[in-house]
Amino acid sequence: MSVNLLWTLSPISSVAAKRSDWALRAAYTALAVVVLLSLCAPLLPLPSPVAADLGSIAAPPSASHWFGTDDLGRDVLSRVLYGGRPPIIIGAASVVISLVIGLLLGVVAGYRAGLLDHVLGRIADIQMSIPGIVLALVFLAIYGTNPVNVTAVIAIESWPLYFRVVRAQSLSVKHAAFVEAAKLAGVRGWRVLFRHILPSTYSVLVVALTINFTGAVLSESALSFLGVGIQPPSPDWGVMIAEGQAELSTAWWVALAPGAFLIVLLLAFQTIADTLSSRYSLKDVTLGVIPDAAGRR
Amino acid sequence: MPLVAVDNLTVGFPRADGGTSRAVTGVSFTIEAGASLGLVGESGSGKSLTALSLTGLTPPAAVISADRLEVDGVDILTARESRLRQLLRTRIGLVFQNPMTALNPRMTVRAQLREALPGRSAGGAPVTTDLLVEELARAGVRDPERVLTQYPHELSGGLAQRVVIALALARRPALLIADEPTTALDVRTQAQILDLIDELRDSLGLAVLLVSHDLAVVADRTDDIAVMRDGEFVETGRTAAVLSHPRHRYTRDLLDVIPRFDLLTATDLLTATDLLTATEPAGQPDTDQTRLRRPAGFPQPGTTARLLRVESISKDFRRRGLGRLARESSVAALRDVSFDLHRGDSVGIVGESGSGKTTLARIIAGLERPSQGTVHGDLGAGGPRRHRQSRVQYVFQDSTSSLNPHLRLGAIIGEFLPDSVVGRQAREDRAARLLAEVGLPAEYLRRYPRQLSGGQRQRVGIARALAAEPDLIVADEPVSALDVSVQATVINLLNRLRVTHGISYIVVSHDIGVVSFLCNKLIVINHGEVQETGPTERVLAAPRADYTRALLDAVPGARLEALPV
Repeated sequence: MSVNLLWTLSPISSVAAKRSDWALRAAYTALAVVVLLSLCAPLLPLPSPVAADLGSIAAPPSASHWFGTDDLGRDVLSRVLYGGRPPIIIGAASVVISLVIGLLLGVVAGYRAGLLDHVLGRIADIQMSIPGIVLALVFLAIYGTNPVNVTAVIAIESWPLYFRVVRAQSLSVKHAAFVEAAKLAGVRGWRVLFRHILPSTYSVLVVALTINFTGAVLSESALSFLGVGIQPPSPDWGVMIAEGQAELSTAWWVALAPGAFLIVLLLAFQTIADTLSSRYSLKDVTLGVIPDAAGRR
Repeated sequence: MPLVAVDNLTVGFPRADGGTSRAVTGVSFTIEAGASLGLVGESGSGKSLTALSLTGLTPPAAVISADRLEVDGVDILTARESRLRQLLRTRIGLVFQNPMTALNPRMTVRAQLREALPGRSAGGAPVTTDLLVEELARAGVRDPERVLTQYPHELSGGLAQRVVIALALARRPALLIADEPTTALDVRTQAQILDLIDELRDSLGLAVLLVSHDLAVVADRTDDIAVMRDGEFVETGRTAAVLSHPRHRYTRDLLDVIPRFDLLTATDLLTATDLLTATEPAGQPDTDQTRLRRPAGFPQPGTTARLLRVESISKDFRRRGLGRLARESSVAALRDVSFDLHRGDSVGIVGESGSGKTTLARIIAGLERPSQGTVHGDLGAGGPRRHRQSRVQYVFQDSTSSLNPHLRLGAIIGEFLPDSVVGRQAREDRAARLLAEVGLPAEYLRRYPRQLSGGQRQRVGIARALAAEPDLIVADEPVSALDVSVQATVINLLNRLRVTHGISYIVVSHDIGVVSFLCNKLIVINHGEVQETGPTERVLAAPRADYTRALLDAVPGARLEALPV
């Protein structure tokens, strides 16, 4: 996949591209900082995110507690960094699961068409017609709240996105001349699917993936905020925002820190998604260029 | 004072590294009122940019400089926006290649024509239906009352281009800029549109700047000519003089590579070996980059076995409306087509767009099924699928979409190699040899299609077809997306490979010149019906069907024909 990514990221020269280059670099940096700090939190010299220190309750930011402490005296910096792990890990895991499901079903539905396509398409439609948050609340109420179930419910919510995108792309590539050529070479069905059609969906997939990841992170935080995701006292941005909400007037830093990290992560990812989608759509046009009647381009 | 005066015009684009890449360099010309100038060049020669510079409609990034750039006394470089707009509105008419993109799809012809006409405040006559009808009739629209009520998608390409011309001329401009006005049209429609422009030149005293890649078109229609290459004028002068005595090598080469069917019988073509100067970016010395060669090496008629018999093939395409109750209608793309193909033959299928020629080719290649009739022959029918498929290969018109952009050339060609070639190294060697045969170096096995030029990609398409060791190659417009110089090299390549590999061809093309240089038999097809079949020389010299005659008459280049060879 990385090879194809490089291909589509070939330079487009204009002033607009330069500006977006700058924004893109900032986004990648911010993303790397937030993700690395969160994932490496156990390696950093931080106090335990769950150790209460009743001696310094709701202390404002200081040299010893950079982001202050919460109402149980826990270090907010430590909780913020540890608290990034559930949204990022659950977000990534659910994206991977829904991507695999959507990709496989989508490419088969687009290529085979017919009844299978209709059945899968209606299932995806039904899935999309149920509000994600309602589905999640019901699902978690029945099967219980734990990280695995949260991941599963977010993945279930987002597979139709990949299904739709991949199906449309494979439908349009199905009749491309190079696919016809492959059939003339005697290449068999499944091989055509995986060698010729699947790679053409990568570019749209990358765009869908970046968009979906922000949605998944937000979903995890929302579920935790509502109390059906990660359970206190485990550190989590959603949990922390819910806890800090009550004392916003007295200890604003408790809710501000996780909120800020969440916004930075989402913005960075969204910027990357926007840039990728504009670049990919530019490049993908070449696939569909059909010369006019006389064949001149 | 000339209507258009251009002196030392240079157009450049800023590059990412801070420099500028020049698209047009130091070009100078004038056009007198009522005169016509033809700009000829291959793609990327800067001909369209030169024409656009006269209108101030160049892309915003373009950097234009000139000692003089005036149209009708207005200095384009310094004129205010409003002055430029007025000039465009009243003095310049523009016609582009694709009429469908020039017309607004959501507006009727009437609405668009009204918009183009001067309002009463601008001193125009009151806009009445009679006036609109008159305007359309002037552009040669035969049924103007009906056309006025139609939307662009309801018009044929030729009719739409006539409407565009009517719009361009609505305010009686002094200059008509036509950029490839007929490139998207069929050859008979092309002749009609060019005739129309000629007539309007006479009746309205129009000056015309005709931009085209097609030397034959420009040769027939203009007084003066400028040959462009890499942003420069390599030769200018009176059209007749330049064509009869080209001074520059490039002009001569351009004249040499046009597939003119009238030259098929000229014998000295066979001995000519004028090397074209490098035409491809990563080009390498290539024996095919010579003058167009007359096809040779065909077997004596009747001496070889029959390879293929096409027996009364018909094809209907169903057109279904929305919903189940909508009426189903079917369009006949092919009606009762039959012909035989013998081993070593090359059969050309000629027709205009919509004639069914591509459908016929696809049916023969097995890409589509006929509604009736059969294709049978000694192509291993009944054998295992893979075996049967590999006996017929297809070369696609669009070399870009026919090569998988995600695979390297090695993988693309490798997929077509027969299973009998065993082992990685052996397969790679075979692929390299095939590339060498089409004139590409072995390193190209590691390249992706996008790293190749259009001509090189079409060579890969041919190498891929050869890899399957077919008996028959069906080529659908194999050269029509290529520049003329590249086109000639691919034609020569195809001719060489036919002889060395002993394959047969079926070549589909709208261009009679191209098929006449590739084929020994022609099938002329119109509206799905065969009009005429016969040996190439006979069909060209003594066409029997009226349609063939009309088609041959419409081919541009009458003035070229008069030239000595």
